[in-house]
Amino acid sequence: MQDFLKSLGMHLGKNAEEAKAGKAMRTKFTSTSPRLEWTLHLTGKKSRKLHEQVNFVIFDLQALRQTPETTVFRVMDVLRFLETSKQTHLIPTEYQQWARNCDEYVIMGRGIEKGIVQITSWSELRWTPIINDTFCRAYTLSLYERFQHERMGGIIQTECGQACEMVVSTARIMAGQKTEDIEFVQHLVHLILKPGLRFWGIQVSEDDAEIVKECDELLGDGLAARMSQISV
Amino acid sequence: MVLSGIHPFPGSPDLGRLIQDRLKIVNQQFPALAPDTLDDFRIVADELSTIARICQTTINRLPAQSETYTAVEAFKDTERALDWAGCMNFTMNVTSSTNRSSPSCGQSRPITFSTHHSFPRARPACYRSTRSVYIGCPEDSIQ
Repeated sequence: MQDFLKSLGMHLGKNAEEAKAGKAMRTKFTSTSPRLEWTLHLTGKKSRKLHEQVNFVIFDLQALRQTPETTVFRVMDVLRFLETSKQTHLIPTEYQQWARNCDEYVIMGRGIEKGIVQITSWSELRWTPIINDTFCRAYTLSLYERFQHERMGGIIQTECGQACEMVVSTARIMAGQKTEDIEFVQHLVHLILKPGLRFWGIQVSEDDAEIVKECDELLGDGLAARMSQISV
Repeated sequence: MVLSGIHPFPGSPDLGRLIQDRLKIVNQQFPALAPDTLDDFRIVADELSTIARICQTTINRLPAQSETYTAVEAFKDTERALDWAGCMNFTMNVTSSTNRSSPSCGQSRPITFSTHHSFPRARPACYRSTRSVYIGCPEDSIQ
C-alpha cells in the first residue's frame, strides 16, 4: 500500500522530478484525462516541444476495467481515500493539484492496448477547424483561457450552421476509423462543446444548448442519409 | 489475540487491536458512530468477513512462501492486505459511482484521453505515454 502510494506520488510529479534529475524516469502508470480540451492542448504542446509525432489517444475505460491485469484509478478517489485515512502527506500537495486540474485517471498493468479506441496524430488534428493559433501557442490551458477571456486570442464570428459543421467535422477526424459510429462521434461533439463554443474562439448568436441540438441534428441527418442509401 | 486485561508489548502482533481499529473506522461513517439500521449492520458484518478472509489467506499463503514464518510476519502481512483492500474498496466504489458523470462512448462506456509518441512499426504492440511508461512490450516490461 505504502509502496503503491509512493509510486503514484512519484508518477504524479514525474515531469518535475525529471526536470530536477535531468533524465527520463519510468513509472508503473499511464496518465489519462477525461478532459478532451486539456489532453488536446497537451498533445499539441508535446508535439512542438519534442519535434516528433505525438498522438492523441482515446481509451475505453470500461474495456480497460474488464481487462485482466489492468487496473484504472481515478486519482481524485485515491486522494479522497488519503484524506479519510489521514495520509495526504504521502503525496506532495502540488502533485495532487496537478492531478486534480485534469481529473487524472491512471492506468497500471499490461493490457493497456486493449482499451485503445482510436489513435490520431497531432498533425491531423492541428488543422481541424476548432484548433486556433492561440490554443497552439499558449503554454498552459489556463493561459489560453485567460487570452480568450481578455479577447487577446482570435475570435471567429459565424453562423450557427457553420459553427456546427466545424465542430462535427473535427469530431469526425478525431473519431478516425470510428467515424461511422454516429453515437461515438456525437459523444466527441458533446465533449468538444463541454467548455463552450466560445472556448474554441468561435462566436455565434445562439447559446451552447442550441449548438449541441444543431450538431445532434447534423449527425442525425448524416445517419438518415446513410440509412436511405442502404435501403436503396 | 490478546486477552482483556493483558497489555501486549509495543509492536506485538495484536490482532484484537487491529480488528477494533478497523471497526472503529467503519463505525465513523454512521451518523451515531455505531450501526443503526440493518444495512449499517451488514456493512460491519462485511468488514468482519473481509478481515477474516484476509487473515485466512495470509495464514495459507505464508507457509507456501517460506518454511519459517512467525506471527509478527502474519500480522504485518494481514495489516498490509487490509490497507490495500480498504483503498481498493474505497476507490472502486467512488469511481463506479462517478462513472455516470464521466464522458462516455456508447450508452454507458466512459472514455478518457492520453497523449503518446509514435513507435516504430516493427514494435506495434508497444505503447509509450508522454510520461515514458512502457506497457504491453515483452522486452520492456516494467516492474
